Amino acid sequence: MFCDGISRRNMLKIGALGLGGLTLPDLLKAEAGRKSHKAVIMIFLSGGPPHQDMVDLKMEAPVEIRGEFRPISTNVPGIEVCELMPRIAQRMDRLSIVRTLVGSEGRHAAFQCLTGHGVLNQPPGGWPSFGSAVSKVQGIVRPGTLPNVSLAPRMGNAPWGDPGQAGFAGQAHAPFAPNAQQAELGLKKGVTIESLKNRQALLSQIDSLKREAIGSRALDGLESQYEAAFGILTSNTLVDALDLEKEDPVIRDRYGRGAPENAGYGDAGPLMNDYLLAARRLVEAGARVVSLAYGRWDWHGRPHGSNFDNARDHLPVFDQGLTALLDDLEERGLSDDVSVLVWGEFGRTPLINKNGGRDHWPQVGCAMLAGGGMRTGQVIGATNKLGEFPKERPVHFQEIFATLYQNLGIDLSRATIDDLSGRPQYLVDPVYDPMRELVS
Amino acid sequence: MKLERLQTVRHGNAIYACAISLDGQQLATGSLDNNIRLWDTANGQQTLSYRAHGDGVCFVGYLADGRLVSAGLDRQVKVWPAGATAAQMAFTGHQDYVPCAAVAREGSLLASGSFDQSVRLWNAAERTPAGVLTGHTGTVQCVTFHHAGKLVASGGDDLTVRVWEVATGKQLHLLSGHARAVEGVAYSADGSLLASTGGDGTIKLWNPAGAVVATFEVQEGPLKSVTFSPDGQWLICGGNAGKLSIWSVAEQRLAATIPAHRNTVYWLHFSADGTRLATAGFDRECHLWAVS
Repeated sequence: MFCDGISRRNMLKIGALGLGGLTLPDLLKAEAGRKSHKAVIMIFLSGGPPHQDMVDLKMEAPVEIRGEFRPISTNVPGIEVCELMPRIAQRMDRLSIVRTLVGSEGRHAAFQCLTGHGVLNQPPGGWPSFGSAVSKVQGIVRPGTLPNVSLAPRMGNAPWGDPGQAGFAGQAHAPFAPNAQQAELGLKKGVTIESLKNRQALLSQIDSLKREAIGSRALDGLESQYEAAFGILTSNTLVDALDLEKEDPVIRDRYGRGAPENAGYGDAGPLMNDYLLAARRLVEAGARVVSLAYGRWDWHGRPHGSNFDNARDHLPVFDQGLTALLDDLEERGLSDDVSVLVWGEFGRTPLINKNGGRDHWPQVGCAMLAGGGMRTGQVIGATNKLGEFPKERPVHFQEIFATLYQNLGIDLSRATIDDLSGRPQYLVDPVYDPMRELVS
Repeated sequence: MKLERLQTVRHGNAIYACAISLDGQQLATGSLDNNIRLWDTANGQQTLSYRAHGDGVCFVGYLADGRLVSAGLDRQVKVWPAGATAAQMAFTGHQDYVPCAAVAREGSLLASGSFDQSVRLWNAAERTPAGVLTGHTGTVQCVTFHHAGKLVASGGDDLTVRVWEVATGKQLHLLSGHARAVEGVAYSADGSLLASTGGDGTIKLWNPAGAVVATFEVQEGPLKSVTFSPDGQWLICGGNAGKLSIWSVAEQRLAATIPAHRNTVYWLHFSADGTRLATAGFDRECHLWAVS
């Protein structure tokens, strides 16, 4: 503790906040010899998407379960998806659908989709989010880049807008989160010079704090780190990636831009397809992991719109955004390097409630995966006739994480991160392997 | 009847309600984004936008004196002087969401229906509660005034329509026949017919004695909203398919089906002179139509 009550740890936290979570050694640790890199874009459908209204329609079920939508054929014979996703249907050969996601702890939060673990009984320091773990294990792609970015917007229900904790990977590997609650730099209106000045003002405040603590050698050398970090935050690479005004308007329109207002009750984020475009741009700018929260999928029904009202609102926009991302990645030659994952914290009740909604259903959910060199054009797993539980091939959250880590080139049998007690922790529980349906 | 779309206005979230001012110059919209917006019907330009409720705005309507009434999922019914962004009064008493409300064509009487299974009456002139109508055994999804303001009809999740006498609060009729929740009710301008619609995809017409005089099978899935044209010749309904179904009341036949919204049509409102129709949808849009 410094004499004025400012601890070094707090100083570092403040610094990490301003720096996007990185220290100078991390910033300067380059990965040599690669022009492109493996990356993951994680799209979290905040609130829990209805599996039976998207990718597992049960037309043989009674009307109180079946719902209002009809399935349509896709470009893969035998696979059908909801009629509200015609663009996805035409790109089914580039997607894999998991119909039997299990292991949800039933918590209304992004945590499990970000870490693969439950909130309870975490090791000392807490589980790192996927991006933080990757940042810790692989570092930066090249100088001047940020490995871990979260575009999760601030939300009334904060656990949905969680950008992902650094956990025992350390604050240096926390996501750079320009849309998060504490951020001064946001995508909502695009990055402006003014916002950068504000960020500089933030760092000036940190400098002031630092001066107040002068006399302590604990802060020696930090000045150069701040300068380097500010250089990154104002570097053309990052700013250009976040500045969607620099994107070809045709491409931006293909994504559909999206609505900036919060969807649903207003306690979640917007249906912002610009975030999907920004994710691609951030990957090109060197990010290894870009996560984002998208829309509000907690559709309990009236008076906030029935499950089906909300599906008609969300699914066409999602359909446009996701397929634009897939097309964009393919056209840019990034499909084999960039894995895309779409999922939520749980599925929804087969039985439609009295308000026309579907409630929480941790027993089974769904996920969609694409790119990253994975085998696509397939459905993995099957639920029973009412969509209540898996009848074959249950897939655990951690199997999907294992797959993504492997796609990034991380050897799960060797990679560990020490928790704060010094005990090495595997990135994924060793009982779970990468999904053989998707990767070799 | 023919409809020509004149204007489209938008909110950042679903639009639950719309109303055209008595002089026809202003359109009010209420949204799940908690805001009320006012629009110039001549050009579709927004003239005012303000946060009206702490949760979605599910009803807007004009009193005869020009004041605006709103109801919100925050359980409140509010009255706003023309052009004001501060409520003149706010009525509370419902114990759960208020998804529907209505204003009497004359005078200052308001009605609201709630998830608490009650209909409450309010007097906007005296700023007082005017009654609690109990009897529904499920959420009250819709409520409307008879043209003379002496009757109120409500419908809801108990599959019934109930007709109440305002002066006494007495239930006059219990109308059964819908197979799913009743989502919309409307009186014809002369009060000779009451229309009800809902999740079963039908429209039922009831006479003042409470007997069904016609049932229309709409074939467009669950229905949400219904209204009569001011001249009483036409009945329009909207539902989950986003279409407007226009029925000839006299001939009891479907006259037209018009694609209008990309999502459920939550509200329908004719201008007093019948030359304009406003439709509100979960697709975040409200359309203003010329009626001919």
